[in-house]
Amino acid sequence: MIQYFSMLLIAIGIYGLLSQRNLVKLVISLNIAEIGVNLFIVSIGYIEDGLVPIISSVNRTSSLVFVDPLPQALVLTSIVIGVGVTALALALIITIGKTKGSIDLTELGSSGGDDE
Amino acid sequence: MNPVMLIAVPLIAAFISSLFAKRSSLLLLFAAFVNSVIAIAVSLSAINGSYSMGGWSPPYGIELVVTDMTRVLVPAVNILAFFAIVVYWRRQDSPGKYSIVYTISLAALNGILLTNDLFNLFVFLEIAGVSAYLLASTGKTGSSKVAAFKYLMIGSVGSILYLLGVVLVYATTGTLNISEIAARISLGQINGDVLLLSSLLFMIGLGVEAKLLPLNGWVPDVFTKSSGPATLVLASIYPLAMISAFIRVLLAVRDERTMGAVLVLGVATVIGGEVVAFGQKRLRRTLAYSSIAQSGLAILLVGVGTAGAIAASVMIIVNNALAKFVLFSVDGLAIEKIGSDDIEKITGFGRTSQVTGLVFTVSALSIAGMPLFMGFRAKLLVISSSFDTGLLIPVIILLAAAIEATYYFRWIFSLYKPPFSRVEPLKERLPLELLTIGIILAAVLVFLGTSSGETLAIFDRAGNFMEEIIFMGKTLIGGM
Repeated sequence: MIQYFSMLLIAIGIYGLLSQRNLVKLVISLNIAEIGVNLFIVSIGYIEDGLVPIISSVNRTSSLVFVDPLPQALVLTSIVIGVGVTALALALIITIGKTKGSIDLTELGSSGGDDE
Repeated sequence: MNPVMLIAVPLIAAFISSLFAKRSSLLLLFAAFVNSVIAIAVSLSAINGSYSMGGWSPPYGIELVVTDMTRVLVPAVNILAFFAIVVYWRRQDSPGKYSIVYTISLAALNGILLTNDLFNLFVFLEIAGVSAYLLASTGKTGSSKVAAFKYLMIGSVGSILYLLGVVLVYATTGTLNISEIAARISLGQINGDVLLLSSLLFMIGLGVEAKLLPLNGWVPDVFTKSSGPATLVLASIYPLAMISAFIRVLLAVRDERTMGAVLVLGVATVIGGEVVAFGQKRLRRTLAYSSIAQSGLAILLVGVGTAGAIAASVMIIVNNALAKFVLFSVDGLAIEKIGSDDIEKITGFGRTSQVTGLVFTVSALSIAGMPLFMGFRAKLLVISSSFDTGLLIPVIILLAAAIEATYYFRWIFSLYKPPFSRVEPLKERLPLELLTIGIILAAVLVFLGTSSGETLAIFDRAGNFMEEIIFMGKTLIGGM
């Protein structure tokens, strides 16, 4: 179920990337898609009635119903990377806003020409 | 020599230079120089095979591998990075305060070349990507920031899709190790539909950086609006690592239907790039579209997929890196001296400096695939290996090569044509570093184009690297 939900989030994010013209909204759409992927990664490792994958005094048996810990490690890395990219994108938006006076793609133009 | 030093040295240099910001360009030069030496040592002496990291043996921990392909690409990346820094050392738009970004990108590019773990590759791709977005924004104008932002957007979407593919592969095979995945897939243990979906996701995700056709809209803007050294690094050094990642992942997750799509998109990229490059009036835009076309050529060979095709692909990217380095640095020089690289303004630039004209001509001829230069042998191998797919692809490649040769000859002629207006001999001396490095790279191109076949045996061995990878994977899953 949660996997369908995360695919839906990715689809919403990509729709936002294609339809929005405001740079900040583009960054938000990107983040929504990223959250979708991250949820998907976590859901891969989930096992019904799985235990915490730590052998402790409470849980001594190493039965095979552990939750897979690797996707959680992956998602942690991926979240951090996502934060870094978002910060860089917002910094670029601030510079664009200062130099060009707009953060709207239609006003920024297609910028395909050689304006220098 | 353990290849991990190639990643560790620039990373340490980057950490130190965040403390001593004023010395960061010296540290960059130092890291690039040390890395070049280590890269040569790794290429000559390291044993082929796996180097496990952090005391965890391969299927559980991250491993670095040295294959025959790494042996070719690692020295190329590090030495070209060192040259790029030396060329711009005393110029106005030297790396300067952005030095730390160059240092980190060097670490990430080496990581991409060496790692044998899908998720580790994702991390290095992101580090290289973020450095690339920053490099793209180093131009003087505001439009370079817009170009960098667009690059960031499409690059991030690509990396999200790549991550999704990685997770799908992990969920099915239970491992992230590329050689184990390749071995399991070659043994037919993976469901074909999962394979199709994940390899398509890989194709799109890695295709952004590899400049595959619908995803390469960022290339011309980034290459024309960024600063000189950043363009040099992005245009000549990044493709080496990015296309090698594309080759390795797509061949590991080998799916015939996706290979067909790669072939078609690669051909479309070549034709699109060459046709648009033909119509450009500015040298730098021509070179940017020509970069797209060269990447397309290297990618369509992945779709062919034979060992000969991969050898040709490696030759194409090495030839492109060496030649584009010279072409972009001459273009940067022209912009600095004349103020523009329009076809009218640049007329006669080759007459003001004999050496500049010479190295430009050699590199342009090598890219265009003229005999006596490395590009000729690369194109020859491209065409002979693409005959496996029938007659259509070689014919299209030849047609594209004809277009390419035409526009490169036009640029060479206009470089030597007498200018329309007064001749204005340049008073200042041209930078010695650029001339020396240009001559070295041009000599390498001529050497690889004229030497006996034995020097090219290294490329043939590089084309066979996938067998090594799959063999390592079969050892991991217990030999069958």
